[in-house]
Amino acid sequence: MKKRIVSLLLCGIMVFSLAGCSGGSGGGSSDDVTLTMWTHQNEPWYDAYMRAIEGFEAEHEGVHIQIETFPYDEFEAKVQTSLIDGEGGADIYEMWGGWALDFTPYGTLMEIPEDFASQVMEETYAPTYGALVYEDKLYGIPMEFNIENGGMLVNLSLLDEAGLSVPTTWDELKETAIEGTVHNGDTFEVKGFDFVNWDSVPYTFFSMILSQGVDYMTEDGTAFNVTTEEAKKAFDELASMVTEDHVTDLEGLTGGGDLEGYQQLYAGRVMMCPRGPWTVSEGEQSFELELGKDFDYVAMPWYTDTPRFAAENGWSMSVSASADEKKQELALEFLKYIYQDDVMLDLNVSCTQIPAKKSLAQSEEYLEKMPYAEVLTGILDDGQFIGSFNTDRWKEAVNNTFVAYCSGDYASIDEAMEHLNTELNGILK
Amino acid sequence: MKNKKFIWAVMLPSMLHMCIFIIAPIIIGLVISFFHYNPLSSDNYFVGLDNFTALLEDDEFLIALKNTFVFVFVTVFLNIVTALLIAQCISWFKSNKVRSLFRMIFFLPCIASQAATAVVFSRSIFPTTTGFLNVILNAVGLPSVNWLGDPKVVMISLIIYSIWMDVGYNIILFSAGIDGIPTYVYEAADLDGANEWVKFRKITWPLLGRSFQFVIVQTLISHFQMFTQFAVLILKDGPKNSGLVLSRYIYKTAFEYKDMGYASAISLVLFVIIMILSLIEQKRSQVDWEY
Repeated sequence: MKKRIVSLLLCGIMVFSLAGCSGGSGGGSSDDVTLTMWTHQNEPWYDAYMRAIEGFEAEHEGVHIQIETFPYDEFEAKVQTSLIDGEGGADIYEMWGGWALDFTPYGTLMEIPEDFASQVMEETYAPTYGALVYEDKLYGIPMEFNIENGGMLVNLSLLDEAGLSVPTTWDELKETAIEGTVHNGDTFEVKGFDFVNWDSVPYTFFSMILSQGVDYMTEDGTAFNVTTEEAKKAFDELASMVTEDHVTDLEGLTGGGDLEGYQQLYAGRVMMCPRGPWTVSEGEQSFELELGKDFDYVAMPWYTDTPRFAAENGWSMSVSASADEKKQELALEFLKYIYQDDVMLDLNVSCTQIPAKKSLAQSEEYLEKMPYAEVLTGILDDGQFIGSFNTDRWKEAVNNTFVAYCSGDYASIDEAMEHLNTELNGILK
Repeated sequence: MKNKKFIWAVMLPSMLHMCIFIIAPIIIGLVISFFHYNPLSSDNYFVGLDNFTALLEDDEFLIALKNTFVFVFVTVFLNIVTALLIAQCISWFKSNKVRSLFRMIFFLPCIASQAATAVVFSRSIFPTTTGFLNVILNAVGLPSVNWLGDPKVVMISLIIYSIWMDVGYNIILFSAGIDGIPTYVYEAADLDGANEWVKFRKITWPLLGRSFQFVIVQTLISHFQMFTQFAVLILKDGPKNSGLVLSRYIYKTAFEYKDMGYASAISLVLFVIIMILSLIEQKRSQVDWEY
C-alpha cells in the first residue's frame, strides 16, 4: 500500500515537472515566437521599452518580446558572457556603444542589412554609431547622442546668494567659480565648479585640445598624441582649477564623498557642475527642486571660440547573431519599429536622452518636451566620434594621471603628458 | 563490497560536482594562462610564459600583490584576535540564552548582503563631510579623516569594514571550540587557584588548537578571495590604486580589459599563493592530541 502511495506521488510530481518544463508557450499558439530582450535596470527606461514592445506586438500578431533587466554594474559582464557562450542569452541586446567594439569583429552581432544601415548612418549623427561599425558594416542602431560636453547644471539659489550670474565665457566661468567657492578650513562648504568626476575630466580635456584646433590623435589616426603644447596647456588649465584656484577637489575621482558632484549641487554644496541632461530628472524627482527656479541646465562655456568635442557611442540596440533566422528577422523588425520617429521620440524623452537621429534632435516636438536640451542640440554638429578604443581604459588613464599630477607626483607637465601618452597608446595595442 | 558500492554511490554526485565546477575550471584556467586568449576570437595563440613574465613588469599587478598581502595578513590577524577575545568574553556568561544572543548579534553582519553593507559604509559611515565616523571624531575635537579618498587611509577603511563584516563567523567557531573544552579541566584549575588569564593561557589557548587550524586556513583563503568591498566600498580601486587587490585586478583584466589569458595567469598566481600558505599553515598547526 505504502509503495503504491509513493508511486502515485512520484507520478504526480513527474507530471507537474513536465508541465513546468513545457511552460512559456501557455495560452499562445504553436506558431508564436518569443524574443528575449536584455536591458539594464532603470524604471523610466523599462516603462518606455514596454510601451514600444506593446506597440510592436500589436502590429505583429504572434510575436512576443520578453524583457529581462540587470543592474547596470553587472550588465556588461552578462552581455559579454552570453555573447561568448552564444546560447541562453538574448535575441535583442541593449548595448552601451563602446561595448560593441569587442563584439563586432567576431561575428557575435547580426549585421544590419545594407539598405537599413545606410539609412541609419545618413539620418543619425556620426558620433552615435562609430563603435557599431566594423569594416563598413553596421551592427546595431544608435538610440542616443551621448554628449558629455557643452552643458552644465547650475544651482540658481547659490548663484543668487553670491550675487553672481551664469557665466558665458571660459574666463567668466573661472571667475564665477572662484567667487562662488566657500571654504571652511580645509573643507568646502560650496564648490564653485565641480568638474572632477570620472567622465568630465577626460571629456573636457579632449574637448579643450580639439577647441584649440589640434587633434589628440596623430595625423594617420593610429596613435594618441597628447604631448602637444595645446594638450599640455589644456591639462594644466584643468589641474590649476584644483591646485591653484581651489574651486573643487579630487573627491570625485578619489572617492570619499557621500554624493556625486551633481547630487551635491542639488543638495546646495556645489554651484556649477558639468553633466549630461539625464541628471535633470533626478533633481526634480529625488531632490524635489524646480528647473528654472532652483537650478538650471545651461550651456557650458567653451575653452576657445571654436566649440569642438569628442563623443563615444551611447545606448544602442543590437541583435544576436546566434538567434535563429526567424528570430533575427523579427528582431530586426523590432529595431526598425523603434527607429520610427514617434517611437524613438518617446524613448528619447522618457529616458532624457539627446536623440541620435538628426531630425528628432532638431524637432520642435522634442524641444517642447525637453526644452533644457536646447543648449546641446545646437552643438551636435560640432562633435566627432571619439575613436575605436576602450573608453573605460581611456578614462582611467586620464583620470589617474590627473590625480597624480594634481597631487604633485610629476615634476612637470611635460613628464605627466609623456606618461599619459604612453598609457593611452598602451590601450591601442 | 556492498558497503563500498554504497560509499561510491553517495560520493559520486559531490565528486562529479567537484570535477566539473572546481577541478576542470582550474585546469582550463591553467591552460588559458599560456595563451593570448579572447573567447570571442578564433585566433587564440600560444604565448608560452609571456603572460607570467609580463606580470613581473606590470606595476598594477605588483601594487595589487602588495595590497593583497597587507590586507590579508593585517585583517586575518586582527579578525582572529578580535574573534577570540569576544568569544572568550561571551563564554564567561553562564546563561545559554545570553551567550546565544551575543553570538547572534555578532553574526548578523555575516548574513547581511555584502554589497548592501558596503554601500551603507561608503555613503553613511566613511564619507568625509557627513560620515558617521567623522561626526564622532569632530564631536570629540578631532579633525576629519578622508577615509576613502586618502591613499594612506583607504586600506585602513577596508580593513575596518572587513573585520566588522566577517568577525562574527570566527566568533561562532571559537565559541564552539571553547564550549567543547571539558569543564572539569577548568574546575581542576580553579582548585589550583588559577585566575582567568592563566586559565585562558594554559587551558583555552592550547586546547583550541583544532579550531585555530580551521579558522586560520579558512579565513586566509576567504580573505585572499574577497571582492565585494573592493568593488563597491571604494571608487575605482581607490586613489592611486591604494585599494587594488588581486581579485579585483583579475576581474578588471578579464572583463574590462578583455584579456582572459593574462587574467588567468594572475588567477594562477593567486591560486598558488593560497595553496602554499594553506599547506604551511596546516603543517605548522597540526594537532596530535584529543580529549
